[in-house]
Amino acid sequence: MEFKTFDKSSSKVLPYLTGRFSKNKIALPIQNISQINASTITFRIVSKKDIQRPSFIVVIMRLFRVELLNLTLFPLFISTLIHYSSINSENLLYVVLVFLSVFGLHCAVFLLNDFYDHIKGGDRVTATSGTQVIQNGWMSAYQVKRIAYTCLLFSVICGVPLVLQNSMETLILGLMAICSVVGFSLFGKGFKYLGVGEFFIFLFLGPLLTASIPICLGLPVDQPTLYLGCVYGWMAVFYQQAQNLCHIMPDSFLNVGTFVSRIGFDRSKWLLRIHFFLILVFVSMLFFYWAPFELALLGVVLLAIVSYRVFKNLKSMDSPLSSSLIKLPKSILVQHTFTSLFLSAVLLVTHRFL
Amino acid sequence: MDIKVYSKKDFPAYLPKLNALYDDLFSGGKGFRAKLIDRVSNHLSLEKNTVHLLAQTIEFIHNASLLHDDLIDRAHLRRSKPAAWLKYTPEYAVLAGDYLLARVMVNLSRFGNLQLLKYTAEMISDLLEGEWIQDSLVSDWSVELKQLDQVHKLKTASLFKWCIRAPFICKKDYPEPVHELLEELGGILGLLFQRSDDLLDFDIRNTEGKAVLGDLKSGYLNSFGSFLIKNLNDKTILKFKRVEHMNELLDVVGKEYFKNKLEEFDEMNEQSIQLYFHHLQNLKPYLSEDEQSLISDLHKLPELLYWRETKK
Repeated sequence: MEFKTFDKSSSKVLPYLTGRFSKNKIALPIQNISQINASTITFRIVSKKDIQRPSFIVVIMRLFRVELLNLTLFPLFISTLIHYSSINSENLLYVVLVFLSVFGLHCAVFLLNDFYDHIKGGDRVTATSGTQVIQNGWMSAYQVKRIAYTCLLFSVICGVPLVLQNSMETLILGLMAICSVVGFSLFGKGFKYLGVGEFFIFLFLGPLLTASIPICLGLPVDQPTLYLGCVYGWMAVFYQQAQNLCHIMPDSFLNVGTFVSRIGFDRSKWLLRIHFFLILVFVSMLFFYWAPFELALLGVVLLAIVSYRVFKNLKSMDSPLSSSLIKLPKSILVQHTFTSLFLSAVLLVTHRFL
Repeated sequence: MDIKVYSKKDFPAYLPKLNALYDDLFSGGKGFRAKLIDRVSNHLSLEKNTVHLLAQTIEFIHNASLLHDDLIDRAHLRRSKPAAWLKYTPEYAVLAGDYLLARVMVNLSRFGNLQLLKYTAEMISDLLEGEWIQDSLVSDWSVELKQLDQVHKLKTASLFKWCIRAPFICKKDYPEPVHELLEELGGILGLLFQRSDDLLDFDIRNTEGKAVLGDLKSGYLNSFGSFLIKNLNDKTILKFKRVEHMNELLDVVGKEYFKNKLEEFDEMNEQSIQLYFHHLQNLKPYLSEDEQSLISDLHKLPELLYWRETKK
């Protein structure tokens, strides 16, 4: 077994971190046992052919955080259904381009997050952060960075026709989205480390996301679309704060100032419980707005059943390491998915479009 | 060198039952941590009084945590004797533990090495954080190894790190990279020791005849336990929780499955041992000629701590 240790300030470190030091070998950084701010970094050098890699599709799905696509694409989809009657053969392309552009941004943000966490060492403090694609040696950090910027470029290219069609509004929206993607985890001083990440998540996975469809169709942004966006934005914040709570210990050790680590474990628990209750109320209101009464009632009952697991996890998470807390983000995603599927089904069945 | 870390003269005679409590507590222990201090200090040629102080400090801290642990866990036995909280009172057990920690602070303040005092205070703080969090994981049957490792880094590993590093702090001003290496070495040893201890609970390499399945019956899933059940279905885990004997456990999970998981676990820890040897080699250039013998002595520790000297 081969190991190499370097001083962090050494120029030899970056090629090992990015995976460019050798064609046949990969350097896996060792998780730091004891010192968060150690001045050295140790790598385990492994031959690339010895890495047990899953299939390429699995690696890409892991990298692109496919399980989180519902946070980005579902709000777009519901907004599209709502404005379905305004879509025709001329503007359908713009809707498709919005989806592709958002997909590109989604992939870029997670890939960049993984890359910078790896370079700065955040993923060496705990074994649970990131997609683990770089840590497991399935891809080098350099490859991940290239894919990230390719996705960003793809997103920009898809956005260009939208800007040309709608000019100012779309350009501003696009620039804000790109700045937030890059700024979210850029160089350790991104928004998420300043305790304001949630605001950007709310905005860009919420009202701005749902508003992008009417904007690209040249329509005014109406209240139901904004309301829908606010609910989705809130659900995204709920998910993000649950994730941040899972990482409260390493974030505290690294002095990462997310909102959750600033207010502490106990207050964050209560904050999440309040989120949960309010989300149930607002999602139920969404159901009653879009669906006939009986169908909405059924939806609320099903929502309660799906949300039971979230409730159970919120109730029993006694420590930052408890398995209830670790399971919480996934159960929130299930709740989010159900909400979207139900709304989609209602809209498709009842044709209650704007 | 046989270190006697406790003497009646260390504590006031006017406190009723205190010395009797400590007599019981210190008489049964193996004093492994004190021996580790002695082992490291020997190569650094520290003064006898300093070695005694360090050995006493670590044993006082360790035993203070045992006094509190037994009360928190409501354990009835400690080293085959009734636990202090049962034999005396819970209040005395808490106070006796606190008093040991206070004596540590008094002794180190008198010694006068501020860096050592600061490091010890930080270690005690880590230990207590680990205790706090570990208590919240009792009856959590879905807890995973990576979560338990975070607790063990704060608890067991911090004591071992102290054992390796404190003698160096007393000797002289070593550069920062030395202390970082010592932290890594101590951390790995601590994790290996904890995992080996957890294996004893499943009667693996149990040469000292420790009671088996004690953790499981107390509702605590230790590191090997959580590694073992990670991929099992809920029905099997439910049966697993209720086992009373090792034979029953092997029937529930399957002998072949158990054997394969043990091999995987050992292989994982063997990787940590190789990393330990790597760090040990990196320490060499920082040591003087007189101190080089420390490397070969420290080299033997993983076999002692993890394999319990059973590896051929």
